[in-house]
Amino acid sequence: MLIRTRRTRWAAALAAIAVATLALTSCSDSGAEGDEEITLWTWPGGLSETVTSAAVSEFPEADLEVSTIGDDFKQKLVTAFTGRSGIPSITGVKGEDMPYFLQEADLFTDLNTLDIDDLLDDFPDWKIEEATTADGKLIGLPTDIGPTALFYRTDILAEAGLPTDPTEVAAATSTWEDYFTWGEQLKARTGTFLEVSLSDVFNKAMGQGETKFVAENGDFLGDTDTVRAAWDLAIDAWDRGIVAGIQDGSTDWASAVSNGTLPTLLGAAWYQGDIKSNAPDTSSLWKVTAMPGGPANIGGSFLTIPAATEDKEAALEIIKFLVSPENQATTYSEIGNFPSSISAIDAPALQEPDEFFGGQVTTDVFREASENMPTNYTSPIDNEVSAPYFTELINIESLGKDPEQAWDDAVAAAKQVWETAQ
Amino acid sequence: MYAAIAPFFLLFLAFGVFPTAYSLVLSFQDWNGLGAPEWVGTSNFERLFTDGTFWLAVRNTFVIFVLSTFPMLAIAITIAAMLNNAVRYSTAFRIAYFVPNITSVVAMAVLFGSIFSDNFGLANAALNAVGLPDIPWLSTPLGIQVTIAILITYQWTGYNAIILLAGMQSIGTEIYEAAKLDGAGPIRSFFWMTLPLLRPTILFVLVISTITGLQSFTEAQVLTSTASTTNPNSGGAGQGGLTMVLYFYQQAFSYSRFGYGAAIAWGVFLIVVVFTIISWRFVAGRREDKLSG
Repeated sequence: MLIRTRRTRWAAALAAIAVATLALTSCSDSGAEGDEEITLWTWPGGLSETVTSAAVSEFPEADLEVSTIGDDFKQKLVTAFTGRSGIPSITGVKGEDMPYFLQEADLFTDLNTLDIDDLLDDFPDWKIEEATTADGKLIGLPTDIGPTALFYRTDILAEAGLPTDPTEVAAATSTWEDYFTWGEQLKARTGTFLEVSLSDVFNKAMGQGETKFVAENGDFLGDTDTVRAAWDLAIDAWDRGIVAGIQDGSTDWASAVSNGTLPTLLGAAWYQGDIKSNAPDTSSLWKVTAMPGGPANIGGSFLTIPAATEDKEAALEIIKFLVSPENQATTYSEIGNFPSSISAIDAPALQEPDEFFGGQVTTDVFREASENMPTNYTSPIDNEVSAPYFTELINIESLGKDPEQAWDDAVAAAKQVWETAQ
Repeated sequence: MYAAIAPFFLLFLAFGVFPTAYSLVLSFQDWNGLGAPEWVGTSNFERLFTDGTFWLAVRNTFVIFVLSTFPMLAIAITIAAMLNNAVRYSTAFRIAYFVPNITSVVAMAVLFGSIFSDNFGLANAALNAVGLPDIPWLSTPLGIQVTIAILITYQWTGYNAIILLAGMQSIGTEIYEAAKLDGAGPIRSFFWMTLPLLRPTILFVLVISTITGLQSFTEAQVLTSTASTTNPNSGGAGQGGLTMVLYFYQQAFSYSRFGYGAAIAWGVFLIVVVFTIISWRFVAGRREDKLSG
């Protein structure tokens, strides 16, 4: 008898578990059909919080839920797609991940099938192209672009007896050659470094080029003059002793930026967010001017609508709101993401002086950069093919590896990666 | 009856057996994580054999393993012996030594990254204070490996000390009394009685350390990570912090080569099995010799 009651009890428990599981599954099922809730995924620094919370109150019927996802954003999105569950209705895609997702464009809604014609004119053609497949599907609208500039500390420059006015600094550093010579003076007088790392010089110089590591037709470009020229620039800076050899974004980097060891930084518009948050004590000491050798094109993200989204029209309305000129202007003044919208650049909010930059109107510098920056094709395997160059540049920095040997090893390794990807 | 153990087995099936089996399938495929996987036969494994970076990762892993495991074992045994003789506050000491093991590895690695940072770190400041020069902890391969080893040692010493302590306490007091009567001092009885009798526990600790040490990942990933997207998870200077599992992570998750990543994971599995057997033989084998001799 006892045994039987036990069995019944277990059966009851099992049944309870089964029912609970069913209930949970059916819950998530109805969630996927989702006529109530619209979910939006972004990452820290992807969209301004003022703008996202404005979107939540702007679309009460959509019941918008914004998730800010840190760490490896791309991986979490891939997991959602692979698992075919919990896919957001709207998701950000970082500029560098776009080539990867373009390979699987069917996972996203072709925005050309929706009503976006009045919108397209407001974005630069080349940025729209970055989210367009070979057969013309458009899977994302740009939230921001990444024109680069030279950030510098006026107090350190003054200490070295160098002019601190943006136009004068730009004139003194118009080419890489001038910039390095200027940096040698700066170092001799103040003991500071001009550049964060060899990788940084190389990356920025590559961003100024018209091509990257793999051509649109799949050819290997790792041994072209463009790559070699960027490499030689990095080595030149190294030989002159003006490279600190610090990892970008590390604790050492933050300390060096705060204490003035790194009075100059090259970076895209969004880089000012990093500077502001890591070196708040240096507020009002910074200025920004044109980057040596012309602007580069680093980063800049998109908003997409996954194909699984039920109410695509509602999702598009929310995206339209998020990338509207006014909201992009707010995003820029809050976190430094430079507007992808051409008319946003003229918004009054963007003509406000920035206290962190000593009252400078930084928009003008980035606007000029954005008008002159090169556009280039990024292959889905570009990251992987370029990795050996960065590895070898670190080897030169930390192990004193012979630069010529490092170049040969980098090209060989990059070529091998390229071959295995064929 | 079976219902009581079913939850474990169901979870184990879903999160243990299935992923393992699927990763074996995946290792014979080429898959970018989203599209359709493509069968490629054994080419992932052929590539693995000739992949210089993989063998570099194997080398790094073993350097870190040796640098961490043996000092850790020595320190853990010493601590265990001290805890075994502690008269007061022994529970407080045990808890104190165990705390690093239950602290988040990521949090510790971030902290270690600050302590060992080259220019403004606490470790170098301490060295300078006693007149020693800076050590480039995180910008040379060996420096990175030593830092990772210190972190692993810090994390696992207390855990192993507690296990060794349990082993020590299972040794009967009467043999120590007998040794005392024969005139053996504490040092002598530690080396000639405690250590030999502790061998099964040391074996256990060594096997566990081999399995966890050869799969070290988080420490290396956090300590050598960069904010940049240009060269993610590459293991820092000279790729010194690129462990086997970090290389797997890089290939699968940074470069979306899930097939090749799975092949690396199975390579790691084979290496771990082989070395677990070796460390087993190393300790257990000697005991058999002694018994027979």
